[in-house]
Amino acid sequence: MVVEFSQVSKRFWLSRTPALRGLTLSLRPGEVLGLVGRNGAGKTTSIRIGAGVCRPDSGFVEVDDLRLDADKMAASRLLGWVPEESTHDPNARVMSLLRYYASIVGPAASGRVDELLRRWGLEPFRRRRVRTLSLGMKRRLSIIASELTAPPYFLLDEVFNGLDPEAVVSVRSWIRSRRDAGCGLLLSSHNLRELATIADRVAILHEGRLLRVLDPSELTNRPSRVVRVDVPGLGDAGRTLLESFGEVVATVDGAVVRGDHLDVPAITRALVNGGYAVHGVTRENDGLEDLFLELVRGAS
Amino acid sequence: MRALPADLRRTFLTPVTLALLVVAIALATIFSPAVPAETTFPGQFAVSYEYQGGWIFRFFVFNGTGVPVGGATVSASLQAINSSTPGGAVGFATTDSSGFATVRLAGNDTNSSVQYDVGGGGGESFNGGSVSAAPPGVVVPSFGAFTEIGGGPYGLVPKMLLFYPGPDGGAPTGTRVVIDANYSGPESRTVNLSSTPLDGPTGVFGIPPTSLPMQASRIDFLLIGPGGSVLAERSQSPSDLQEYQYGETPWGRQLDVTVGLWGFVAPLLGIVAGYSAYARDRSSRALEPVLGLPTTQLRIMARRYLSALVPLAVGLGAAVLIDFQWNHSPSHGFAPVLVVVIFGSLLLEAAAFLGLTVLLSHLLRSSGAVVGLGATLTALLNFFLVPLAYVVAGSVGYMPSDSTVISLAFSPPTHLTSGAVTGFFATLGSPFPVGTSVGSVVFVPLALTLAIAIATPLSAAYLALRRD
Repeated sequence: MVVEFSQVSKRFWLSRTPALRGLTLSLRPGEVLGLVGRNGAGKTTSIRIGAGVCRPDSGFVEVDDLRLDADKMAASRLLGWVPEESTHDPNARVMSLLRYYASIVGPAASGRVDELLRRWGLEPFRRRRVRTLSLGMKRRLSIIASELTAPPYFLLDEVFNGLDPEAVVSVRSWIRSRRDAGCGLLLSSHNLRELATIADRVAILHEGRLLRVLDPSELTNRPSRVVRVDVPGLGDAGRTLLESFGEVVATVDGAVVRGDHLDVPAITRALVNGGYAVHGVTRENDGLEDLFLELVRGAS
Repeated sequence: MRALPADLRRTFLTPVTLALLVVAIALATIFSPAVPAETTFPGQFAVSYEYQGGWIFRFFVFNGTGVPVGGATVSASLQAINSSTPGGAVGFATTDSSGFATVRLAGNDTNSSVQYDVGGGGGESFNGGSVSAAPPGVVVPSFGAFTEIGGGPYGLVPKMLLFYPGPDGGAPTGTRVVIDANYSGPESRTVNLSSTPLDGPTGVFGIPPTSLPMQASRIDFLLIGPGGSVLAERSQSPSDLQEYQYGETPWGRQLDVTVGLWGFVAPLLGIVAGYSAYARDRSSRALEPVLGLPTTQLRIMARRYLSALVPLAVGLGAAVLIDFQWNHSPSHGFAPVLVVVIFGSLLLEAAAFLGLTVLLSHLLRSSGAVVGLGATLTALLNFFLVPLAYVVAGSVGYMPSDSTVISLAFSPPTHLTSGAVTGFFATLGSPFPVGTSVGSVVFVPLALTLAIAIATPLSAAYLALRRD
């Protein structure tokens, strides 16, 4: 029981560089698999190929032993796709659009539409045209569409992008609830901090290639290379003082120090001895971000 | 195809589709031409006679396409010249289902003047001139031995119906029909094109389009008797050959207007329907969320294609019905099957351009470009084919022949003109096989349109499977 990408490659028409080069990746039930990479790394292409919206030039995707290219109808029943961009018919009304989608899925889905509309708070907007919905509402509409088949796997493309904090919380809690229900979720994101809090494993893509899949221990045990210094009025002299510990970036309330083996007590002591009013020195868990940058820079 | 009704509802209820239906019905209502009052006479006729101690007049009544007309009243009246028929003589008869009727009159006068009437008061009347007592066994063609029944609309290929019964109404023996081409000018000459023995009282004769001689100033149809004498003759110049008999009738004129208009509008409707059902959603990527559901690209395309065909069928059906059934009650000389043929032809043409729109949607990103290109192509095929032929032929050092230009002007290769439609109808009751005069003129545009209607969605399906 798994979604398996096997040696998937894709080059778009008239494009010089391939979007994906031999991607092999597995999504297991009951896990959130994060997918990170720079712009153009192939995240969205991977997810679109996984959803059956885009065909690979070579390789294939299997969902529970069903080949997506050979048995799209059956395989798609096991997959819910939430695209980053809403491309729903802008002139359609919410309810009629969902009924149309449900008619394609089957009779069971028609009975699920009302319940999903209520659950996602779109019930009051059922007669609104899609083009009048906010970005968050459109994202919820996409999530409802992805749930019509009650699939065991979800492919989520930048689902947090452009959402207000309240919507982020509700989407995050939905992702967790699906994982707890035994679903597998492939989640692409640029927000590595968000991903670090929610993903069980993280796959790093670079220029269409899979660089590495990080397991939970690598995500949690990696020492942080970032320390945030909260010292109002730090000034140039203070930043010069901190440069002996690592790379310094000024912030509104002080600075961020980035470096290997950062010693928080030593930094605190140096600032106090320098006569600064230290409000706080905290280690930030940027392990994923660091690791990502390290891997990507190394690959480049 | 479980979701087809949903696709149908979706396509049908879009403003563009509803506008399409309104436009179709409005055009049909506005441009439906008034039909002039028709005479009660349903067609044309031919008469021959023989003398066997009394006069025997044999009539053959048929409609504009050569189909026999039964139940028509015919009469022949002789004016008295000498004492054998004091006060003259009149005889009546009614045609049988084969269109034949025989009128017998007593008397032995020769050089009597004769009057033929067909179809009663509102029908045709013809002064047959004088009759002469021919030897027994000799049949004299008196009126309309050869009648042009249309060789295809605006076509250059004549098609003649001959009526010449043998003695006692049987098959004529030793007679044949000869078709000659005449060339005038310094090198005037006559070239025989065909010679066909007669094997019955009626026959249809014509020239396959490929045999029509270029530069011929006249085509002669000759009925040659057993002794080689010319019994009847009919000549046509190329300009006459362009006449289209069906267009001479009121229904034919209406058909010219209606189908001429719809021959241009139907493709546009096909493009609009294709835009509404497929091109718009494809260019705005609104089909992607659908493709993420348990369905395939091919199924989506097939459902959308079929859901566009339905409003097209409804719109065109309403237009044809308004034109031919509701605005004007059908009259004789107009077969109900023609309504079906016109409807089918227009739907086929619209389907061809619907398919073209679906195909273009896979080649161009913008739905505006798809519609623009489709509409340009429609206009090009309707209005600019002749100049295009000159440009293309001129670019490779040739000049298109007159027949090519006329053919392009009146029968665009992918558009079903009234000629193609009525010509097709004519073939239903015609002995001409496909490939001869009527057949090729009619079936080329039909076959081309059918080929486009089939090939375009198939090509689109291929592209849909090959490219994203």
